[in-house]
Amino acid sequence: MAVRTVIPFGPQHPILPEPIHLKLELEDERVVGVTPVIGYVHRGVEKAGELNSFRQNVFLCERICGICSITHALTYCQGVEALTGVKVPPRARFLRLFWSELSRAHSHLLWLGCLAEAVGFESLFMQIWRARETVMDLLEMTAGHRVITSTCLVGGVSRDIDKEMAREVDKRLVALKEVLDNTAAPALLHDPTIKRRAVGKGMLSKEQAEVLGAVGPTARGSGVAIDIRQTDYAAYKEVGFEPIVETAGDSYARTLVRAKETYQCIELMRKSLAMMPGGEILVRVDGYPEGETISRTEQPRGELIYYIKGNGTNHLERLRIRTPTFANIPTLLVMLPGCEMADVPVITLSIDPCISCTER
Amino acid sequence: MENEILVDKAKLIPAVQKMLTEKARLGTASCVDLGDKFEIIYHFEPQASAEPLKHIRVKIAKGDTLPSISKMYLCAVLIENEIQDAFNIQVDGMAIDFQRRFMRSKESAEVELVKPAAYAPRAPTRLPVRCGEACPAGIDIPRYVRLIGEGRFAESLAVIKQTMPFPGILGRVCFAPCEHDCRQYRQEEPIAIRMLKRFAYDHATYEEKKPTNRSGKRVAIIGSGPAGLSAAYYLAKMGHGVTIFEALSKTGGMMRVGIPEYRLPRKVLDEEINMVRNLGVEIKTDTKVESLDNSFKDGYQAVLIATGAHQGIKMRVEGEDHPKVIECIEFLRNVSLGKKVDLGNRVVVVGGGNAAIDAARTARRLGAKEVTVFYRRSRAEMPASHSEIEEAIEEGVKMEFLASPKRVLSKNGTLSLENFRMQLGEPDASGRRRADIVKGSEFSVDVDTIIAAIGQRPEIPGPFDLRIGPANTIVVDTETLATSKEGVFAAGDVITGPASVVQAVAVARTAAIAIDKYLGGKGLLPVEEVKVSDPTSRHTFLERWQKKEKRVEMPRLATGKRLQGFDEVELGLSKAMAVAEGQRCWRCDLEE
Repeated sequence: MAVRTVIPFGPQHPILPEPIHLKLELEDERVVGVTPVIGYVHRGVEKAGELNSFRQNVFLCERICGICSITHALTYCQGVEALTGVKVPPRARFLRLFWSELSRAHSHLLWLGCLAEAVGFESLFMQIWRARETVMDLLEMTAGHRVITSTCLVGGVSRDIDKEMAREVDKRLVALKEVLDNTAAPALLHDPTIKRRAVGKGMLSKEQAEVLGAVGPTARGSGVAIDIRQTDYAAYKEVGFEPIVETAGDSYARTLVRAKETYQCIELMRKSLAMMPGGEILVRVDGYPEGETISRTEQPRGELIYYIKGNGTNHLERLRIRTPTFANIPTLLVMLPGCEMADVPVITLSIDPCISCTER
Repeated sequence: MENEILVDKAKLIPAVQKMLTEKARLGTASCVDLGDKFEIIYHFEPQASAEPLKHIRVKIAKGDTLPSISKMYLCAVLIENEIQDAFNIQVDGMAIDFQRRFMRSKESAEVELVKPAAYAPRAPTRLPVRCGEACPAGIDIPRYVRLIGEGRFAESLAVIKQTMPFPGILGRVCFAPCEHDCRQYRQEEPIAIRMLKRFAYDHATYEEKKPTNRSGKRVAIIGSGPAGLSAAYYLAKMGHGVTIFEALSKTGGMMRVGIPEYRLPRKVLDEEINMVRNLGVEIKTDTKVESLDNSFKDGYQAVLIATGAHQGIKMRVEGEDHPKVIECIEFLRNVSLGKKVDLGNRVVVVGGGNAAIDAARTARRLGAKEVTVFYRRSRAEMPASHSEIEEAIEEGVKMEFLASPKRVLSKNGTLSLENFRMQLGEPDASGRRRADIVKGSEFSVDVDTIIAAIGQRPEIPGPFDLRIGPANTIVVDTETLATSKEGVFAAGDVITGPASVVQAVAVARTAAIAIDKYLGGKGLLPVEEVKVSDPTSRHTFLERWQKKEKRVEMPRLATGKRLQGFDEVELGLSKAMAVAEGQRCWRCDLEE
């Protein structure tokens, strides 16, 4: 007769600095049930979104998450632009794509490093985070800040990238690709340690992913080809985009999706800089948002949904934010049961949980 | 939204079931507090992701329960727990019920996203702005500037007229403290607020509404300067009978005898004074009031003293009694009233204020070849307005800084002025640097005429028998402007010492309200509402930061032509210039 125990995973755990608590039910070493608990650092951003003016909300939404602050601002701006009938200039759309992809590269590299650390591969962790530093430098160079960039505004973007800077960015992106070719790619593709920790662990079938509403790399690792970048926002249609899909549905597949997407990010950024048309980057927004809309973008972790309801004043009636991690937490309910206790950290990490997003 | 499916609570489960069979993916659910009920919107993404989202909307009464869809969509469980927590809605049959402990700790507020009972959307409000706060007359500056930017000149003029009766005059002679406080002043490109006011007056008409009700009360106003005229304007608007007594032969007070014609054309002045006359105000010129008691005997219930500050201050130096040493204000008055003034070729003006510059420029126009302004500090400390100093220099007026008169010498019919050289010391109480005499630095210049423009002070007839304060001003109650005598009020330079037209207009407004209250009225000024739509956007920070637009330059009369007469120097803005300038405003009055 197996011994049934309940082990708390988090809210403080070395693998995940952010507070999510998983109540793990174990039979001996095997997980049989899991209950996720969040709410430790809930910040009431949705309420604050009703109290601030709609222009100020851009900066509020940016602060929901440090890594994907650009995408939050972008999603919000797109929604408000739809409600106020503003048409964003083409150059601004290309710049928005550039920064979205830069933040995605940042996020994925950060996560790949974390994964390497979680499996105990310290040197790979260092190598990947060194590559990530290039991305951070690019963020600082183009946006003036490494984390909260404030590049996105209602009506366009706040900064331009001139030709000289674009050339420099392109040079550094090529160098970044080379670094990844020599470090992350061979390790992730061929290293047996990583494979033994990730292959076949945390299985999520395509059907399960669909019914659980998985998004982003979590869904794409299970063969569900959902990626909001396929719908036309920013300049993805002009630049051209195909989602990266793996079918295995395990932690390794999700790792591969993220690794390949990092390469894809570099290509998208280079293309957007090369194809960027000239002209204005910001238009004036007249009028107050009225009506309701859904705005969706693809965050590094998946689909981000904003429901925005305006009432024709400077303040919104309702700002609802559904972050990708919030949608991915239910997948843990099927990924974790059946696995070994020792695999829980890597599997939990494989959905790339961002609790600061979830606890908006 | 597109693709809406409106269902009631009973039909929710079948509708969601249909989505499940269509293999739609549940994006999320949004709950909105509609005041009397809650609306929950389920957002589904169809299987073919190219199709737009579908939304199932269900409304439930407050206090009602919501059926859970988590048996079909397990992922809804987190969303439903969140709704249960944040909106205090009981959700029935959730796959995992966190017992209202999902997104809430012991410390968090009871119900977070439910709107308060007396909820109403907050209407956009206007913010206080620096330019408007700097204006003594309290003109709604951002609104009139914006309306000019929108090409609506008549409405713009009407906005100015709400709080200030003389846009034509002040559009020309105001010192524009608003422009100094404009946020674009830091970039040295403040909005040309004064020029736009003048433009509105020049390019639009405003029909004065005549007072409909008569109070039957009569007010005597002594002095037809800016303070007297404004008070008369407001009192007439409030239905009182007003008579202005003017000692000089012409109306306008300091506006006519202190401001030269090249700055304020007499045509504009007459137009604005006639506007006041047309409201039923009687103006008696050449009538010097010597006794206040007589005014009350003549049937006036209240008297307003607005005699201004017309007495020049002496230089207090040796030999200044010479007939060729004249006072600035007297000189300007004589020129304005058409008296012949013989200056000679070499003129020295002593002083650094606007009056000194006016005297110097007037002297140039009267044919004086060599006009020099002596000022004891340097240019930076000069109280005269910057643009006027510029214009004076353009017209050939010389500036002699750091020079203070010691004595006036006259020998064998030649007049000369001996001066000390000064040096600047530490800033004094007024913030300007103190000027100290350099010992043994005396130098003298030969001149034909010396104009002393040290300053002015009020001249109050003795029989008035009022309490007199420092610098010969009348002491008044700061709120009601009442003097020490019952029924007698005072406004303008006579209570403040030499100030500006706009300050006189502003204080006269207060006086008019106080007099109306004294006469039994409510002190309510008739303000005409201007029906204009408010703008909904201000400049974004990028527009403010990246596009540094230049302030409009006022077209000016060519320097050569200026000295031939007293034609107005500023020619006025063109329509295109004014509209562009109006659009340059950042609209600080709007909420960000």
